[in-house]
Amino acid sequence: MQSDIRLHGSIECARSDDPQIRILLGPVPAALDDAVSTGANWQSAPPAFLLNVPGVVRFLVTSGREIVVEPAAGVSLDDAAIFIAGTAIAIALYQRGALILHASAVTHDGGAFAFSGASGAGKSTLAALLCLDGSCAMLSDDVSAVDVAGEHPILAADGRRFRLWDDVIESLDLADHRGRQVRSMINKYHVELPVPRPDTGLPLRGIYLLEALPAGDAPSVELLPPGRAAFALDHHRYRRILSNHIGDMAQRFGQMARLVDSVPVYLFRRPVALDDNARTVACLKAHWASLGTIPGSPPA
Amino acid sequence: MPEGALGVARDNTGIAAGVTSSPGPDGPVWIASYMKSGNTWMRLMMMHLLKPHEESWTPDQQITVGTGPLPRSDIERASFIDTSLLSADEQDLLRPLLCDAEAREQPERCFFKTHDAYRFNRDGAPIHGSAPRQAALYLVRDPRDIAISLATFWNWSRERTVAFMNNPEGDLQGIPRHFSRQIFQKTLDWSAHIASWLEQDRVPTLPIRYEDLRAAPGHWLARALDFLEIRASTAEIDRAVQLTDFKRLKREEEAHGFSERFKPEIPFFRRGETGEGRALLDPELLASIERVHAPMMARLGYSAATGTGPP
Repeated sequence: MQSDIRLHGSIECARSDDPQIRILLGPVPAALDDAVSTGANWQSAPPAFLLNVPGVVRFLVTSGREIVVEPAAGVSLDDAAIFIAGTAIAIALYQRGALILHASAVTHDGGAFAFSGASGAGKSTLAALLCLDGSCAMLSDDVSAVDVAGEHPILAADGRRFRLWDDVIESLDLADHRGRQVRSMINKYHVELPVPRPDTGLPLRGIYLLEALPAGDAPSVELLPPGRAAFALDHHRYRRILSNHIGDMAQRFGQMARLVDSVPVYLFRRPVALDDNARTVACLKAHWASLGTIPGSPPA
Repeated sequence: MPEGALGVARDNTGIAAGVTSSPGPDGPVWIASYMKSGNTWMRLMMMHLLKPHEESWTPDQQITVGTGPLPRSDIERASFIDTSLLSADEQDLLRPLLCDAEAREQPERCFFKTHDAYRFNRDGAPIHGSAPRQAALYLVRDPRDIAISLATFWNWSRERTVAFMNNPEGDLQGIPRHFSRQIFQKTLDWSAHIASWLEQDRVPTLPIRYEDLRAAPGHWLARALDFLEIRASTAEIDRAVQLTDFKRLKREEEAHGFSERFKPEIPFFRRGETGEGRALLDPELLASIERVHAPMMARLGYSAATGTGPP
């Protein structure tokens, strides 16, 4: 990816003469003439997709290769960047036929484990907890692209730092690692954890759908049967309706079928209170220890 | 309440204030109120009326009438934006677009819940949208009873709750330090919230007092339906009232939980009684509410207990 705009929180890599996605500044139309579908703040006119973040930024994503960005009057590029790193890049990836989960992922013992849930479910917090515990490294935060084309699904490294709310940073004692604000006026920060991070994807060995329990309750892990897993995972695709407007339905079904065929999907119920964090981490580690090598997946 | 006690405010039924405008049969309907004023109860009544197949609904399930577009998850689904990254001002720019798109796209009449004051964003657009033929049911409740109920619901002290209800700049989730399931809502203070809805002239609004709804739910539900030009038989209204009987809801919540609890351990349907605030609030808090909100309380027929408020 090559960007004219500084995407704070992203990890820089070597320059390529042929980047797969280019992000550039330029004029973006208010509307598309040939839109086939229109929402409150977006229009789809394949191969182009226009999205408006009112008062902040408008961008036009075309053919999975180009993202043209026009900030609203008076808005700094720094304040617009987070929407490019999230939704705009996801649009480009969907245009390229990717499968993207709304999940944060860590690596453990040579494999990737993803934690999926709605915004506010605690994905980033749990991933950060596991990294701080010392048994994991961070692989992706919030947006997890999975490549199901090969023998076993691979979860890609997203090349980004954690983004954590102020209260989570405080509760995890991470003030020393707090970077700049994700946006001015928003109390969410980029956080660079003092742990190694892989720069390539890893075989996906498990997906955990997060569910909250009242404080003090015991955490539990339940393996979902394939049908229920596919149904639930379909609802945990990143910006699911967006992908429905861009991608091909048969392709989506095929990707999901391959994913649940190869990767176990669990319901992970755990209390989200600070005092319960240690039990939550212990529960997951015990679960991983019990897994051994999953049939059909590469050895850990 | 005596007919016309709300007539000092704008009563769009035309009975008290001579207003004859009709909301029309198909525009979006807002079920609006300050917090803990009967909004959820009205949504449940409407759900059982409009969706009779929801008879097996239990409180652990989502209420299917009067939901979006305010929950953050719904907004994210529709806008593809992580709204926790938007300032309050920016969220206000997005909201009219969402409301109008929802009203445009839904094949059935939309019912929306709101605790937001009726207000405008920085571009001058009403944050509740500009879809044609909107209508609102606006529920009001004695502020002293709200104070007791809201303090329990939010697990706040009564002092903090009363201070919030008296704060003209009151809002939900201004600049949070943590993720919030709800987007930014400006509630103003109790009186200003009511005035914002009853004194605007864009959305015909029927005010309903919680106390009256408690005393005669069938009568007031029928009036609401008449206002919205929704036909329902007496049997259908009786059925909706019976399915939303407070004791029944409380019993079902005890058995199943409730999907809209603010804190998982605190029940939503608590007592639902009227007059509790006068009995339970400390005299200073009672006097504080009655002093700050005297004009609006008088306007709505809530008499003072302390001598500092309306007669």
